[in-house]
Amino acid sequence: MSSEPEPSLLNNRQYESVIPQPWAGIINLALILIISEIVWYVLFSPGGPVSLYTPNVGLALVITILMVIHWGLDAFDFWPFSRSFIQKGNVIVKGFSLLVFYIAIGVIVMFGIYYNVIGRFGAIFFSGPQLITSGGLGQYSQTAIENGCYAQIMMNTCVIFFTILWLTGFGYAPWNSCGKVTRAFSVWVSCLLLAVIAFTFLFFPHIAYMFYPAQTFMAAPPWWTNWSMTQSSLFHFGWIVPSLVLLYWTRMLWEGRPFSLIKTTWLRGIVTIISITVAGIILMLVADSIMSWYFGSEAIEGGMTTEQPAWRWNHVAEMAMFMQTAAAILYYYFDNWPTKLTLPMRAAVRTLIAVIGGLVIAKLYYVIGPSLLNLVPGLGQEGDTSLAWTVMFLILVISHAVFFDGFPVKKRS
Amino acid sequence: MNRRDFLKDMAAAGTAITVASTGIGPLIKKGYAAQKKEDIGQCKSVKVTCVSETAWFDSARMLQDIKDTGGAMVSSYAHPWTQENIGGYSALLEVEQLDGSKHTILMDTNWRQEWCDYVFQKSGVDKLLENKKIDIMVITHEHHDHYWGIKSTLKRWQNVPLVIPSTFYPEGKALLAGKYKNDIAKVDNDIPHTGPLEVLGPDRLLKLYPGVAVKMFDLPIMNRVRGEQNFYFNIKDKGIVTVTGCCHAGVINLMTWAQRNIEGAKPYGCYGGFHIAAFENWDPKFDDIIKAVKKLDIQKLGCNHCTGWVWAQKARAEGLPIVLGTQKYKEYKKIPTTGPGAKDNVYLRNGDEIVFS
Repeated sequence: MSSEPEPSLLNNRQYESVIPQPWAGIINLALILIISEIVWYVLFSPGGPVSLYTPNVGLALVITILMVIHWGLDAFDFWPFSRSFIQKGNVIVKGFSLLVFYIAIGVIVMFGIYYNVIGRFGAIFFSGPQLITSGGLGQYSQTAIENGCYAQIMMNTCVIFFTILWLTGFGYAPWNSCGKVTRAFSVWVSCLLLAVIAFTFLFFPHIAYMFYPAQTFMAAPPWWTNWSMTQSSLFHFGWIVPSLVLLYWTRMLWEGRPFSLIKTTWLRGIVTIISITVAGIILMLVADSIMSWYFGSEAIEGGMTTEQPAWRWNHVAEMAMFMQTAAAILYYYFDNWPTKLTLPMRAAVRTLIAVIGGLVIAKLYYVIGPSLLNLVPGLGQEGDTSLAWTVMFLILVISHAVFFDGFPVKKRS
Repeated sequence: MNRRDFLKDMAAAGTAITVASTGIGPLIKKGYAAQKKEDIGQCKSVKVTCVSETAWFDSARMLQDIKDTGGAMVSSYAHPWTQENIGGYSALLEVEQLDGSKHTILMDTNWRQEWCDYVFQKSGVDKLLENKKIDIMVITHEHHDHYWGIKSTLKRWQNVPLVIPSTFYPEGKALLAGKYKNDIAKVDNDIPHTGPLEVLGPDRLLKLYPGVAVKMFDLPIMNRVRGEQNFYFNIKDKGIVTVTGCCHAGVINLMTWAQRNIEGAKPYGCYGGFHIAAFENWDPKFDDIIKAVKKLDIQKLGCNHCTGWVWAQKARAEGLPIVLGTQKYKEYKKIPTTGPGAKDNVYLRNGDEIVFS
């Protein structure tokens, strides 16, 4: 049970900068910021031509695409693209091929699978258009679509979480001896199953109570209310996302530590699951206390805006993703600096950079973001979330750094 | 809650160090931490007449309009609203002071001018404006359904004393200045407001009369609107009454703010749109509000508009003191699609009154 999978393409990429750091990182960061502003304006901005940030349609779309990218890169190791195409293909052709492929799959998953397969023939609450078709008070355009997207967002988050959790904890075990596609498919199916189970307990009670009258024969009442001060399942979102960010950091900033120290696969997997879950919950509780201090009061049961408990749980996820944004910039654009210290030291320095960088990005987002993104200044607007921008930005960074090899200031070595 | 308390002190200390070392200041101003409670005095009663609460008549049509132009984050000035579906929101507030003197306040000025003219005439507000019998008018926020009918008010009294939030966008300011015309959203005004104008920011409580205050909350709101101001009335021997346009700040937040910031504040009643199930959709968070209102022990709830009929219905079923409306609204030339036919009218609808005394 302790055998390891073959080194993946993703983890064995080698790049060199055409110009020295930190200029290479700065130029690429500036480039991706400009691209992100253009993409936001064209696709998401409330004042732009497509206006996907409704908000939930835009958020669901970017989370779906991120999920698909994780499937493609982390689980399937670029399959069905060939090894030689990934390693030797023209960077522009390769970049656009991968980008278009994963976005297309994402669009198919969201508008095909969720809207027209699952929503039409199974769980209708995943599809706004089907909710509207079913009719009834409150099942109107806009709100029904937002609700359908909410369900997708929560399910996709569970899928991403379990995919990264499994690969971090268990690798491809117990399918290491299988071929690349078989083991990837096995992990993929297993993680989908785990996500469905988690969704059933953590989010389905919310979904059933998202209708009037509450669908009491479909789900138990939200069982977490006494801990969370709200019936909203954003409570669970508030610990899953920080847990996910810790998993990202394990792989990126901490070079697999501390879990890689455990050589027995099953033990490593179990320790990873338990410790990451517990750490996510602790981070959420700490963050909640920080917000009570920061906003000058605790959340109020039944409150709105920044005093709404559900908003605060979601804000934990938002802040975690700001920090992940900083971590991604450090990892992909600045070669995961520093690299010369001892592992514990460099992990600590990178973590500090991610935390402080995340706070700086959050500050910039809330101060200059409203002008650049065409949003109303302030915090606590119902439905408004920085996650749409941070996830979109993360997708762009991964696409740029991995699909396009960090072009133009980096190249494969 | 116990789990949350567990790490509070540790987290606060850690954060203080982090925040201090990085120079990250508050992202927004703390609106809930007054240094000293304010005394707003007391009044004897306030009577609220619902001039119009039907900002739109059909929620499905309204939402289709919102969706068709890109959703709830798109500016209200960019939506080609279906004109046949829109009405407006306004209310007449009559305050009786402890010495028997009275003040008349107009809250908001509807949306579609034709509807505004109609409900002003039906409620007598037109004459009050023409005879300058309105002491002050307060625009709660820049939302179309509360503000875009401003021309109907100004054509009757251009100098009406007015209070607006400090957060109006340029379009809203131009509309007040009589220099705005928008053929997409179909809103215009060529009559400039020339009377006294109070532009209220979030940093102070505007005390209009004894027992009457206006508080502005700087917060982001759907359809690219920022900031909303709300009324606080302190009724002698009863307590605090909030009167709101949409109450985007939240009915529980408002009462909690009063308890924290107004001397002797005790929750008594609420009137207005509460912005909960605004389009008859539901969310588990709305159950939280029912629970919280129960805990606050509010005695009288007069709700309508963006509260959501379903919320009012469920709140009443769970024992909240929802004041029932009459059938007067059916005498109006257009009636909403939600509500008629229900056993109880859980809304205070067009033409209804509520007295807090």
